[in-house]
Amino acid sequence: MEELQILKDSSEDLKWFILNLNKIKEKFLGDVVAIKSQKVVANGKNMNELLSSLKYKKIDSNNLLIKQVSSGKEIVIF
Amino acid sequence: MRIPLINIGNDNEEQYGNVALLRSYRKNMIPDTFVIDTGSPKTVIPYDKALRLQTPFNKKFSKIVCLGGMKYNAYEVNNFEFIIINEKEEMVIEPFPCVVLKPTSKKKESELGHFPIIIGTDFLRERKYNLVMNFEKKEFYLEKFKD
Repeated sequence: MEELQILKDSSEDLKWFILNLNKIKEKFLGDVVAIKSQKVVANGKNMNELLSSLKYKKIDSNNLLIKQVSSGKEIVIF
Repeated sequence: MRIPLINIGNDNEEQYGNVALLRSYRKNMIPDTFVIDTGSPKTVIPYDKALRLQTPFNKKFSKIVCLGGMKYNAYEVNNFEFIIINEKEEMVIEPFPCVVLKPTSKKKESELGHFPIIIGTDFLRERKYNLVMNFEKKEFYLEKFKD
């Protein structure tokens, strides 16, 4: 089923993001990143920039996991 | 039936949640992370996700919400569905009304960062989940209970 596969893929992408956060920070510190198949496929300084970048690259934004790469200097409380 | 929770926080900050598929009444879907926040009485969808789901929310404006130093207009939106995976890797579909937070100005909209879906105590109570956080045994999950 399509939904189940998207969930499983996104779950793997989330685990990859958590495990590789230090490497991701080297390149994308402070950015919002889009992850697909355990790769960063687009990034931006904010959501608008990221969505523009995805549109430019003709990547469907609906099957991606989007995460903020925080600097580590601030504590993130929602 | 249990929904596993994992630490999704950056830099060893502990924030427990997982991945959900968020589905709108138009049947658009996006995957995203959610966090469990027992300090939030409401389940909250950030504005960027509502935009990506093409959610109409120009009506039903309720009140101003302050969060992390920013002001947001809060809109109550019905017909969202959360699709999550249980410990047996089966899908669980939970329809639930949410609050969408929209920044109060266009400038703030353009500077919007990204934060996850916030699962509040309303969801846990009304969808009948106990939150189990056992730090000693490193067990973190939601467990469905019956009346």
